[in-house]
Amino acid sequence: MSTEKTQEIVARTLASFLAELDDVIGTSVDDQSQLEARAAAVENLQKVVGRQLSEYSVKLNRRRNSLLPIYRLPVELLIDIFLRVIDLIDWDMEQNRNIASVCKAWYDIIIQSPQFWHRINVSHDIDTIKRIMRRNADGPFSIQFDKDSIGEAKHEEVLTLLAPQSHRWQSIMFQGRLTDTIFKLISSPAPELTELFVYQWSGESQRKFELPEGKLIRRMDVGLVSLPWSSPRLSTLRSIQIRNLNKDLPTLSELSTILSSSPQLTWLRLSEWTETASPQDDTAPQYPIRLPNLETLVLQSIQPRYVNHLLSHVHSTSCTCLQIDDAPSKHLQTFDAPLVHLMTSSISTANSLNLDLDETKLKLAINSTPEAHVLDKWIYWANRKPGIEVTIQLKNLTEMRVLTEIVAGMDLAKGKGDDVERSISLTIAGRGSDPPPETTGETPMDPEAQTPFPCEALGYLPLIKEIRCSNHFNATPMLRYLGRPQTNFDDTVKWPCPKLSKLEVNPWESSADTMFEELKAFGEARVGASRAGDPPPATSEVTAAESDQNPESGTVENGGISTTSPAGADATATVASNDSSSGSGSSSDDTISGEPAAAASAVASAVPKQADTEASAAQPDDTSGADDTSSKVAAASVAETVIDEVQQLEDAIKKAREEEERRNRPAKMERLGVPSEVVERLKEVDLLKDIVSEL
Amino acid sequence: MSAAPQVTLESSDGEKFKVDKEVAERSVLIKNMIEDVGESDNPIPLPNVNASVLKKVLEYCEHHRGDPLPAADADPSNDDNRKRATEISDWDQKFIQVDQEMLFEIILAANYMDIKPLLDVGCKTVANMIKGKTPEEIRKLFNIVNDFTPEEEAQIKKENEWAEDR
Repeated sequence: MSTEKTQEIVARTLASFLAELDDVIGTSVDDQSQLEARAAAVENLQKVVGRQLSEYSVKLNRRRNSLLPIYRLPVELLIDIFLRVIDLIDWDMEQNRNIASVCKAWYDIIIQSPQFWHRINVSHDIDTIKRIMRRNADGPFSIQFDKDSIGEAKHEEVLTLLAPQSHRWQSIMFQGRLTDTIFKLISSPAPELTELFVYQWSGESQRKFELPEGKLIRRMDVGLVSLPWSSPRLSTLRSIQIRNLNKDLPTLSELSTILSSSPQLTWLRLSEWTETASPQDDTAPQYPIRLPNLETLVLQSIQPRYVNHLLSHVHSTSCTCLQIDDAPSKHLQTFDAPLVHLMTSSISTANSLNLDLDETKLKLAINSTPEAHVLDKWIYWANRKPGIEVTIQLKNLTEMRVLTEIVAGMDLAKGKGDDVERSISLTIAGRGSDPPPETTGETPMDPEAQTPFPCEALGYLPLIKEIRCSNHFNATPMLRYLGRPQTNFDDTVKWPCPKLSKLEVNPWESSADTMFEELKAFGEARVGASRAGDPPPATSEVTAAESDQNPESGTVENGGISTTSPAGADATATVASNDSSSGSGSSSDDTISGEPAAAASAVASAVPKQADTEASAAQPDDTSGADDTSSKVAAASVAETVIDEVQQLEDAIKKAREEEERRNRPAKMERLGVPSEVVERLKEVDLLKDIVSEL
Repeated sequence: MSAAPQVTLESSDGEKFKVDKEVAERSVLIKNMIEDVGESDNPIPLPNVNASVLKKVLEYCEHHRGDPLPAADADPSNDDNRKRATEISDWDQKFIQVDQEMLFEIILAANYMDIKPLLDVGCKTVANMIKGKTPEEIRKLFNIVNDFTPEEEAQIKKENEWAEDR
């Protein structure tokens, strides 16, 4: 319809309205009641016309909307889109309401499509629940009891309404106390049920559900509730969680059947199974359980026979999270073999392993075959308990990232310690604990004691070149340990981590102030030792290309040491070389320097390069062996390299400062009221400087 | 080595596109037509898709020519599929960064030509645009005007009261 035509219609309507108004007002009437009647008639007319105009406006708007690009989509595509918008967990249906409130067409789609009306939350009022069920049009629906505060009476009221419709139940989500009435209602035969989440709070008495014939259950999360574990409905599951069982545990055979018939399983968590008696005739089936899609496996406080069986029979190629918490070690002790095979046989691709082991004298071994896809970013994380022995045998491992607590208990030297020699980088993350009052003697730390730092473990890493220690409360004992040689029984001297060329400490704020002192002491100790020709490096396993391994030649370790202050503080970088024969004078006093934050990135980026250089060229300055001359030449070369690089760093810092000053200059000039011509001239000067500098 | 077999597609506005058969067969509609009619030199008419849209659709098919075809029995109501309901790959995201007019034309073309992955990308994109927005924001996004009558608005408000009180 053309605009002219529309305007004509409006004009005609208005004219008609005004004519009627004239009729009413134009007649001369003096009688009050007649005037009132006419006033009422005018008001009525106003309403009628107003309503007509409003309807007209609505129609125009709908017509306008219908021409929009999005309205070209057919209803089935809009439904598809809207279903993607709606969160699976949005039980309040907020997105439903948002979409329905946009326009009439969308409202109609939402109201008339049963797919949007399949979630009933008991906190809805009864009218709303009835409305949802009506709009659901006899389709399947899910029920959620999420508010315990609503009380059992409300639960019962809603369930009484819903129980006759149990043939439509698709999913039940219940948390709270299963009273007799609620349990009876919730146990109604539900053949369409595919998701069962029924969890009782601890302290309630365990219930047993029946699963009459019906669809296969896809997802299951039960707590203090047992099921008929051999039910044919418990297969092809996608996720399983079984918590808090004190009786009626599944037998190993039943559990194996459920798992092996669920190849699509992505999530498995079994926790808090407190029944101690084994089910009768619970022989473990020996077939492998292949779960190619399993991403998460959590076994927490369940009987060892289950842990044992699962870890030795489950095969997964996509497991990325494995968590074994609170395993009672007295049982684990008897089956450390499965744990040894943890990584060898099945779950070889986990990139996160979280072990929380309790009690003492537990032996845990994590073993990976050479062929396993061992990532260099595996995180072995275990809460330290005194006495736990951890042996890590990973032939492909080049980088370890561990929490302090596990390193403290790690026995890297025993067994096949060769395997960890490949480690050249160690990242230690974790808060640690307060150090003991005093550590004395050549053996710095006792792993059985309240060890603040994994010093002993460091001693078993002869090839380690880099140590990064972050977020540790107090790394002082580590620095002391690394800064002190150990005298062997035959009076030879051995330095911990002889190949160490880079040490990065990121202390907690509270310990940042003291860290410099420790670093100084560390540097002085290693430099002083090198001057005296004192510290022989580790022996034959150190290759000549990287360091002189002659025990008498007094090889010097080089330290590219950097510390990073806690966030917010000025970053401080320290570059230290402990080679002193060339007269570089690089004692710790000389080399430790504080720099502003602007220079930190330049320093940080230079450090690894320097560390590599030093590591490859490291030679002693004060030697008594046959390689005396060559050692001195090499040492001089190192010194020159270090001086050059320190010079480069200083230049970089200077440049960074200049650039910062230049950046800040306009604002400063403006503040001081410097004329703009002067500012422009200064810019030109800067430009010229740059050109000259480049030339 | 013989050249890959090709087919010619004709858009609604008469433009012809010669493409590898493998690319064209990303469209189930075209695949079925070729199977039904047999290979022929005659162009395959696509009366519901204009040249600019067809060009874009073919760009998508070309990029994804080697991808495995989606399973015919993929269950859209499955939660695993729903979970991935709004994930779009980087290339697809860039591909679908077009104006709304073109976006909905692509969706319609994908629907008509039966290219499920492309239809998915389109629907996911629109879903992502809507997600988390208020009705007013959604209206503004698509240039929709409020077309409820006062009575309907009152009804909606009443229905929503239970949620607003919470």
